[in-house]
Amino acid sequence: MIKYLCFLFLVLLTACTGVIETLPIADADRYKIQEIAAVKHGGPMDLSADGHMVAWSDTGLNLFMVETHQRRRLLDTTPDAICWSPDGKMLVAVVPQDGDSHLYVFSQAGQSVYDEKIPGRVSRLQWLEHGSLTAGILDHTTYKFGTHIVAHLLQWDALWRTTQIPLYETTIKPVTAVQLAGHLHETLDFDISSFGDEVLYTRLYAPPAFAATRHLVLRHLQTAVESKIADLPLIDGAGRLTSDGESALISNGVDAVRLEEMWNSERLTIWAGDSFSYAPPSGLIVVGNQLYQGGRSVLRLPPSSHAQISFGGDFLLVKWHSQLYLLSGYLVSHDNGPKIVDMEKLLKLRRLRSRGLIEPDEYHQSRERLLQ
Amino acid sequence: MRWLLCFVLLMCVSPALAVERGGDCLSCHQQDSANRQLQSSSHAGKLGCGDCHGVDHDAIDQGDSYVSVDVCGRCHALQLKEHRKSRHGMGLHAGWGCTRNTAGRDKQDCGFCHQQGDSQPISTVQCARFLKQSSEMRQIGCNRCHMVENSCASCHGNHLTAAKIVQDPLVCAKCHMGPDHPQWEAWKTSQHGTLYQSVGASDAPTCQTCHMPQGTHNVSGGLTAPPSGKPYAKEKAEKQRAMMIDLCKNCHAAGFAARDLKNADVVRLQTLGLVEEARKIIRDLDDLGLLDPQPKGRVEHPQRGSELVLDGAMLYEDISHIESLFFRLNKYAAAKTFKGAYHQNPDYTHWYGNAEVKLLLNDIKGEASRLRERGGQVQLPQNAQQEEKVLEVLQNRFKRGELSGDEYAEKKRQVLEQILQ
Repeated sequence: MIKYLCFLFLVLLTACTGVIETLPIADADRYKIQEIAAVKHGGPMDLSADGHMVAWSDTGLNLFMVETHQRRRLLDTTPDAICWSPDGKMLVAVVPQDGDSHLYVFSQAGQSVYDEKIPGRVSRLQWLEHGSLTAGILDHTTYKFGTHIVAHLLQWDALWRTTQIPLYETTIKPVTAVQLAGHLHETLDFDISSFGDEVLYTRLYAPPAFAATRHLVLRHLQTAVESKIADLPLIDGAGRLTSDGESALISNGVDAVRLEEMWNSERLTIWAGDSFSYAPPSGLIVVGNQLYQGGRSVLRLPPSSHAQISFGGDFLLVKWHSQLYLLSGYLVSHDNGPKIVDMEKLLKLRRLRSRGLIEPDEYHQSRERLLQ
Repeated sequence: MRWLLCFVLLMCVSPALAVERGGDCLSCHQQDSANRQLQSSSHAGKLGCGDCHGVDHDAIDQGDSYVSVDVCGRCHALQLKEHRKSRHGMGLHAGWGCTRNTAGRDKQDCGFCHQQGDSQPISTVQCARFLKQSSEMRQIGCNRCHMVENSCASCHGNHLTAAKIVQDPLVCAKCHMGPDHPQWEAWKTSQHGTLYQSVGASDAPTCQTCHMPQGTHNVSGGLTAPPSGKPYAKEKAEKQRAMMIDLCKNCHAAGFAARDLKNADVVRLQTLGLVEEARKIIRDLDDLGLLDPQPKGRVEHPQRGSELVLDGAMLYEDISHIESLFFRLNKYAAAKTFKGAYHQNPDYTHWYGNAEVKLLLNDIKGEASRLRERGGQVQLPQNAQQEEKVLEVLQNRFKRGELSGDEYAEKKRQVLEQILQ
């Protein structure tokens, strides 16, 4: 009887600590796999760059502290978007509220440190490594002849002062608005370059005589000069800038993710999968259920799993069969390539290129000389 | 019974016949000046009102039964063909444009270019100056001359159509006069014109003598350049010149005529050189953002938006002072210089033309200095902070054809080198 109770105690203890090997991957003993929580509902999730903190959503927002295994319930509403600060000390979440949004900022301990109501629906949050927090916001007004849409970025500095950057305005047909009902804000996706000078964003395009679609557009934030990079479906599909700001990862939302040089449309790599998660500093990318580095598959996750990689690429947050796992210990070579020796000159060259004052070839030749 | 049927048929047909021949019109319009003029013209007894105007009295009454060149062309096919080959046949193309998007547009304006119910315009070329005007100004200030493409009456008059009208140089004066192209004044006060006034057409050339020889309706024969003044291609220009010298030979030695026209060619090219010098000064100011107001801060040009326009589509409103000076130099003074030269008028060539061009060029240079001084002596930037401005200027110059592709690439390379130092 004592033996039986001891065995039962050990089983329960193992379950509580979460150190179990339930994620079926090859050579699982090479990696550290931790079970975080049961997740029955879909929703955004994110992990801090150091892998110490995990936030996920179900019917609300939850926090898991990896080292202490502590859990906290932060919100009782499913957020539209969540995001960790680059140093992992703050968690930002945005929840829908009466057709608008409400922004909440929490400390590592789960304490609320700031909150603000935002007009319009937030589609995505991005916190740059050495920059400000940015939200992509889409507001709309419905008329009998169509729906007028206003999209913009809202940026907060360290003192929570805001700057608004208009992206676009358009009026879409009533039929398109009906088609997008409840998901209109999801049509706006954006990614600011690591230099903070350009934004890649999606723009609804629904003129009267044409089928509605989205354009993936690159805009230089200072010159406001834009160039269309790709066509995307109405909802699915996204674009992310690589860490050097020269290429874009573009998901068509159906079956392929491609790496493309933006200024000459040269397709560099293509992977099979409908979505992706990208770690700019390491170049690691998860497409479908595989982790790639340098175009080579380095880890295969179970089919139907969904993974998100940490900013630096050292940790994977994997959702599989209603369970959330934290996976680490896989080989990551932080091969960042040559460094830019004079950022100011590089930014000037990028600005000149955006205005068409120098050709892409002239830009590349000049950029090469700024590498070390 | 048979007679009765014939009578009824006759009663039905005769009104229509009467209208066609003008019989029915004359019951009311017998004493109208239109009828009196028609009866004294070469068309008397040959044409009735309905032949040209149709039989829809309401339409005629509302002014909608316009007699276009096609109506005259039914009988005067050769003249219509010649007319269409000439610059007169391009009158609308030079002077009109779609008014759909212009402010304060009058619906009547559509009729400038469109037949009732036809969405296809006669011309798709737009005139910026026309588009900037009110509907009323378009009617009086633009169309009264540019209607010539589609109106024989523009020269021949509506009903008189007498040869003596169109053989008189005065008929040309309606349009070919004024500060922008004083052909009539230049001719009238030249030796050709003064001779005409003292001894008559038998011993002095008129407009028609040189531009409509043997009564041709192609008024563009013998011209070696379009209105812009930039010469035609060599082969075409030589052919045209030979045609003109053939006419001059009727009174002058061919060598004398050729030399005189050649001198006018040189004057034209010299004048165009001065125009280009003035244009470049203004473009440079624009490159440096020194025009006041700058193109981006003005009411938009109807065709080119916020671009600086100094070519044939240049406006004389919503522009800066220095551009006003340039407009006068280019559109008035330069035109007087070479129109004067080709019409053998010394004063138009020199004092109204050449002197005015050079005086205005002085004014433009002075105004440019003032603008530069006011702008803080902005010169083409030489330091590393202003490479972007330099590249912008180089790009503008390349787009204007002032730099070849190789020159542009080399200059850009030098600027990039400066950035990377």
